[in-house]
Amino acid sequence: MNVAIPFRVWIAAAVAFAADKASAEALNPRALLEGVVSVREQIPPSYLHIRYTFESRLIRRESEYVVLFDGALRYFARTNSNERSRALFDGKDVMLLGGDDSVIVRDLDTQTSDLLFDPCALGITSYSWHITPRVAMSVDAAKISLVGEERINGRVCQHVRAENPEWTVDAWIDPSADFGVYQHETNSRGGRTTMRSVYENTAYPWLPSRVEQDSYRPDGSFMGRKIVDVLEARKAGRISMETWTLGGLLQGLTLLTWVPVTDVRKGECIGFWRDGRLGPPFPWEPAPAPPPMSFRRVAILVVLAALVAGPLVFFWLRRPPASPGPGDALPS
Amino acid sequence: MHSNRVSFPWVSVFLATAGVVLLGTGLAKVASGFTGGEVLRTYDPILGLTLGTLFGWVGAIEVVVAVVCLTSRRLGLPVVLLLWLGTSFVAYRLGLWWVGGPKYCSCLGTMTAVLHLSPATVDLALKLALAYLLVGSVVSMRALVRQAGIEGLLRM
Repeated sequence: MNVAIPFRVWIAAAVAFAADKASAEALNPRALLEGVVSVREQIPPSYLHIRYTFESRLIRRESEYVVLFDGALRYFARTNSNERSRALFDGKDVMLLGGDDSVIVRDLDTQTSDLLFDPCALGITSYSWHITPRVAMSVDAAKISLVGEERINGRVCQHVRAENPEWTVDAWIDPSADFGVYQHETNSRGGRTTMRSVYENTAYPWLPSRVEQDSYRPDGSFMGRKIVDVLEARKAGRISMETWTLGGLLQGLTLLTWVPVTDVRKGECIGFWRDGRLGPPFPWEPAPAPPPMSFRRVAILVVLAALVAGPLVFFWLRRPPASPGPGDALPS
Repeated sequence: MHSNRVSFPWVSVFLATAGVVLLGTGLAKVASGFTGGEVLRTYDPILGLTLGTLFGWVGAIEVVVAVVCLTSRRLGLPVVLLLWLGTSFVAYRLGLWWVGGPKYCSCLGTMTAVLHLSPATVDLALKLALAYLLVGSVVSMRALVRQAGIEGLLRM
């Protein structure tokens, strides 16, 4: 029996083995997550116009925002409401302008209901302020595995799972399309969150143009849906550093009164914004005290009083006598 | 009275220039009160009044003296008023220095900041103006007293 394998079969097997090995290296699950993070972290300074919709069984709320961002620095201004609502992160502090024309300064970790998520993490974060793309993709998870190839809305994606003792993140990534994340799911003891993304803007390929997020309670019941529609997205060129300041937060607003600025971390008013600058926290600043009475001050006051009153008294006493009127009797 | 102006034309010129200077500084002080600057809430280290109040009163006195200098047909009264104001200002500045007050007198109120002038420049200009008022009024008074005596000074 001739068991010799033809030479061309050996060659074909070697090529297939090499291709498989290369493919496996290319689909290293950690490298896939790193690829997503790398793309997100390299998004140029951008301008977004988004519509944010929240739906639950009871309510539906819709609001629109103009968003500027440059890396972690970001600015959100609500546009479809008469009530002023702006939020800004300058890399260190969060500044929030409320409808009562007051500014609150706080930490990124003490989130409020204001929208100020990292735009670079759109589609991979449930709009938490402190979640960065690296955190959202769980790159540093204890165990990362490639589940396999799956189709999401007809697109072939690599399903990667990152597991931690407290939570699990599943991401469906297409490395051939700028590492777009087409689905992202987080499971924890607090429930499950699923985000599905659609990428339609070929001129701005880094972020999805629509994200639908469904949240479920631990028992599996539906909690609510958040939808972000990116109505406009474009590179913003070079954004002025002035944008990421208190002045940038209040830019373009007609402010009728002094704007109090309160740092909730210190629990105190740190000043009032007026005429383009942050002034002292008037009127709570203690009023300047009058000078204490001292010997020198008394001596100077006496000299001053003498100098002021002396000449007036002198000339008053030595003033010329009044001229006699026409009816006055002439001296004999 | 008109003959006095003719006899002492340089006194008339001095009174006119002194009147203009005083009108400028007086109006600046009064205007400072309307700018609402933070400095107006601070207290004068000698008189114990807020600078807002002090500027109002001193500015008004300067304007009145300036008007007398510019409109009076006599020479004696404006010269006496200028000497009186000048010596008071010198005494005040000496007192300010003695109690260790601010380096520069904020005599123009907040107008210094409004006009974007440096406090040092304004202080120097005001010292020169004060010297001019004082020296001018002393020399004028000496000439007038020589002519009419101390009794007749206010009649001139």
